[in-house]
Amino acid sequence: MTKILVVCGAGVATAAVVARKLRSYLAGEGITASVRQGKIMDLLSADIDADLIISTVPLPDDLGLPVLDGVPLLTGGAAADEALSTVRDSIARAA
Amino acid sequence: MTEPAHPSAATADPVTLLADLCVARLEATDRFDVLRTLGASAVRAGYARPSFVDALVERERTYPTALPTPIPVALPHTDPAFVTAPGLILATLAHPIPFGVMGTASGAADVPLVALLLMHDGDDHVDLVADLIDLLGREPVAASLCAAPDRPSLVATARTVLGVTA
Repeated sequence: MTKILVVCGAGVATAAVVARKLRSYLAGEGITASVRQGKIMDLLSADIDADLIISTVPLPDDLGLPVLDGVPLLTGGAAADEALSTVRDSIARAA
Repeated sequence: MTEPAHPSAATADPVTLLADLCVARLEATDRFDVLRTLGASAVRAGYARPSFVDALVERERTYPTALPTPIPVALPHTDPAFVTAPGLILATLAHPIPFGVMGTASGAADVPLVALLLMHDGDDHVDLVADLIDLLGREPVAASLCAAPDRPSLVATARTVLGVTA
C-alpha cells in the first residue's frame, strides 16, 4: 500500500486539513493508501517511512522521495483538482 | 472540489470568533507588526502564553502562511503548546501588506485579510479549520470581510459568511 506523508510546520493545521481532503478524495476514487500527517521535523529522521510526501512548507531537494505541493489542496478550485490528479498518478506509479 | 456554502454550519461546534480581538482596517508597518499586535491582544485576553507572540513571528518567518487565493489571506498560527484556549481572530488591514506565500521560500503576496488561528492539539479542530480555509479562499467571502468599515461590521459579516459564533 502506498504510504503518503503530509507535512507542515506544526503537523496540526495545514497538514491535517490537506490529509483530510486527500483521504476523502482517495476514498471516493476507491484508492487504498495510507495517509499520515506529520511535521517537517519528521523528515529529518534517517529513514522516512513514506513513498510520497505532500508538503505545505518548502522542503529540501535531497529527500530522495517524490514531493508534491500541498498548498493547492488548501486553496481548492481547479488547482486542487489538478493536484489530486497528480497524487492519483503518483500513487499509480508507486503501486 | 465543491463544498457546501457554509459547511461549518453543519457541524455541532463552530469556530469561536474572538469578537473583541478582531480589528478592522488595522494600520501596521509589516507582517510581523500585524502578528505582534494581534498576538499580544490574544495574550492579554488570556488565550495564549506570553511566549506565543515570538513563536508566531518565528513560525511566520520560517513557514509563511499566505494562501495565494484571489484575495490573499494569511493564516498565522503556531504550535498548540503556546495556546491556552482556542479561537479565531480576524483582522483586515488598512493597506495590503506583503506576506510570504505558504509552501514557498521566497514568494510574497499583498495580504488585506489575516485570520489568526489559536489551535489546540488534537484532531477535533481539523474539520473546522478546513471549512474556514475553504471559505476564506473564496473571493466573495474575503471581499465582504475586507469591505467591513469597523469591528462590529467585520464580526457581523464573519458570522454570516463564515458561519462562526461570536
